[in-house]
Amino acid sequence: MKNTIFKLVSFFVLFLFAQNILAQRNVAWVHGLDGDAGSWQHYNAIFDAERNINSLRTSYNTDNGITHASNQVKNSMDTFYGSNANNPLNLGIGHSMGGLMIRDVDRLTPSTNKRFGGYVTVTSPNYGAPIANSLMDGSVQNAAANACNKLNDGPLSEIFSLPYGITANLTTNVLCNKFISNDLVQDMIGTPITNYDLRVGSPTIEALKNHTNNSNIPRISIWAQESSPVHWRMFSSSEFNNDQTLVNYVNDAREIYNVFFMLNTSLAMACGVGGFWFPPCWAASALYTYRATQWYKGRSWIDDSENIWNSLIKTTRSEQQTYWAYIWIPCSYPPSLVEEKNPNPNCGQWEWREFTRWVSVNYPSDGLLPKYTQELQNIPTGNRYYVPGANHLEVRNMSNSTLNGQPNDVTKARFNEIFNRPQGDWFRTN
Amino acid sequence: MKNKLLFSLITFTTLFIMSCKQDLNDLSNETNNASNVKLVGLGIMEISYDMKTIRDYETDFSILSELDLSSVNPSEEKQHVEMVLLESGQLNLTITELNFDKKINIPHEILPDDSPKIMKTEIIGNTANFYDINGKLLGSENIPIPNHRETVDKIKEIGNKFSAEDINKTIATMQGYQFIDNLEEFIRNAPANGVQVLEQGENYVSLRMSFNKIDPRIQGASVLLIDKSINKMVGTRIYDAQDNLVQSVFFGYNKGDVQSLSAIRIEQQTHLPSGSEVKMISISQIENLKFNLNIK
Repeated sequence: MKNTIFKLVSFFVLFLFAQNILAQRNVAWVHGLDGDAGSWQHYNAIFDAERNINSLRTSYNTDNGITHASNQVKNSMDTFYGSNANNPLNLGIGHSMGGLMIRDVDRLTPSTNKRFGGYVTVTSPNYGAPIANSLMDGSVQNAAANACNKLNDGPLSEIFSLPYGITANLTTNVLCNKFISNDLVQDMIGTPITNYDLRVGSPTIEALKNHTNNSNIPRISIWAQESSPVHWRMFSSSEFNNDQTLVNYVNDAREIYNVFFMLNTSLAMACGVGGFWFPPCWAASALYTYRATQWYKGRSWIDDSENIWNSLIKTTRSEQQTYWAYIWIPCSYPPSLVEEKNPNPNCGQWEWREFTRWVSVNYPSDGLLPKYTQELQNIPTGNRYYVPGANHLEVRNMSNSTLNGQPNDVTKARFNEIFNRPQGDWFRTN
Repeated sequence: MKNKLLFSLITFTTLFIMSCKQDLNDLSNETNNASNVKLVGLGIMEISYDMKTIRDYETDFSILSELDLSSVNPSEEKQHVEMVLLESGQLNLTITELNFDKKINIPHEILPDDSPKIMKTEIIGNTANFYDINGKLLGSENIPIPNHRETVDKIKEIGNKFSAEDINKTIATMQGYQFIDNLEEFIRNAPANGVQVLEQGENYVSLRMSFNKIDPRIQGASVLLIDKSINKMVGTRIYDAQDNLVQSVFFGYNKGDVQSLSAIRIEQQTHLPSGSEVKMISISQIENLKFNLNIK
């Protein structure tokens, strides 16, 4: 009798265990170009604990293009899940290029042997990464070189180097070179095959686009938008694991440039008065004005750098704008002694003037990818999720993120919303 | 006597510039780290003003690439500045960001920066302190503001050479015509001091001076346009070592009893990321200019 009871209990426990295994959803967490097995660790750990999922998270070599990497994803699923590798409930979650790898697995596998029943792309370059195009046509390098020149003009005009410490580190070639030295761009430079694949209009991107447009597989895209300044925040996440530290350093560096701009301007003014007594002081005034302008150019570059970076990642557009400006028109032009032959009748006066010109306007991105490529098209509106205040790297782990001073782990909230979708929805995961 | 005066003039200018390059170790350190210190009223020379600056460019914007266009958006700003030269040669500076109406606003469609902005910067000694709008310290940096002790000495010489009445009158009215003799003498002796008189008329004179007369390490030259009728510099041009024009500056002055500086227009060629050049124009409006020498 005892034996019978023991057997029944054992059978019941095994039954429950088997049921549990069968009820588990396989979830493959796939990292992107800059990542590894650790990239998704934060959310994988949270949802392993909270949901009934069986996670696969490993490292893939992303140096040799999208399809080379997607084959690794397929093989790792076959190895890890075995006979369950083609379970129609298998979910793929891919960050950045990882989303393309999952989509490529879907593209390259026959309908009878799909590895994923559905997927979530997280800040993926679904229609290409414009930064790859900017790298290939030399725009990134040109922008960085131009930046270095402008940042160096001020210190060079003073014949002294900027001081020790963070400011010096940021305002010599380091700050400008962040355009090309950030991890994501470096990875692209280091892997021309992948860079070629990721660019807008590449054969692989076009093939993925055509396949996805004709596919009914359940799919969700999560897109992120970083707060201004998007570029320094993304680089900060890369270097300091938070999106604020570098912003603070750059703000300080900007003020250093402003100090030298205003200091030289003030000295020029003082020499303008000193010239009454010592006319050669006016030559010094000219020199101080020149120096002020050189610092001003560096400061202006820091102010414009977000716009410049955004044009490299193609999140700017040109539009005409009309504005009023209060301007002053000079009468005399050195070295000519006489006033202009036909001087402006308003010369020497201040006047309001209307200008209409083309300007560059920024629109949303995660610091690396525009909204338009992060969002999958031809999916229900409800399958697009938005993460505000996150950059391309930060979106993988927002446990330390804040927005307006408040905790801002929106990625976790979005995953919960996806897993809590209504009964019967393919993405619902208990 | 003439040579003596000219020597003195050149020396003054040389020392004024050289004083900016003293070794950092010589920096005096009259440090006062308290926030919101009232700087004006402590120094041998004090200058304060509001400066509103608009920056724009002159080019055909419609043919620029997205990248080039992104680096030439117009901008506008206003700052209040107080600079004090202490008797020790230490220069203190306070810069405050000011708000104003009708500011040029590019309609960007991105989330705004939610971090605290630096609204005020104080330089005391070789320390820069940055404060937010509530006066909260946001950060500090070491900064190599050169010592200007030689300038202090030269300012004291002004006090010895000229009467207090003349100095005060000049400062109060910002009119320098009563010192036109200084200019005329300088012009007469210009060639002997390596200063070239380019043109001279009834009201204007233009002078060319190599920077290496001021500091042997600096290449290039400046051309000054001086309006003799008001004894004021109204324009300058800067040339590089190859004699290429790199900057033109125009100065405007208020009319009336107090003829203080009211306008600075700076034109300079600048490179775009593509390598092509455009003209950058900045126009600064100076208001509430106060200048004082405490030498008597």
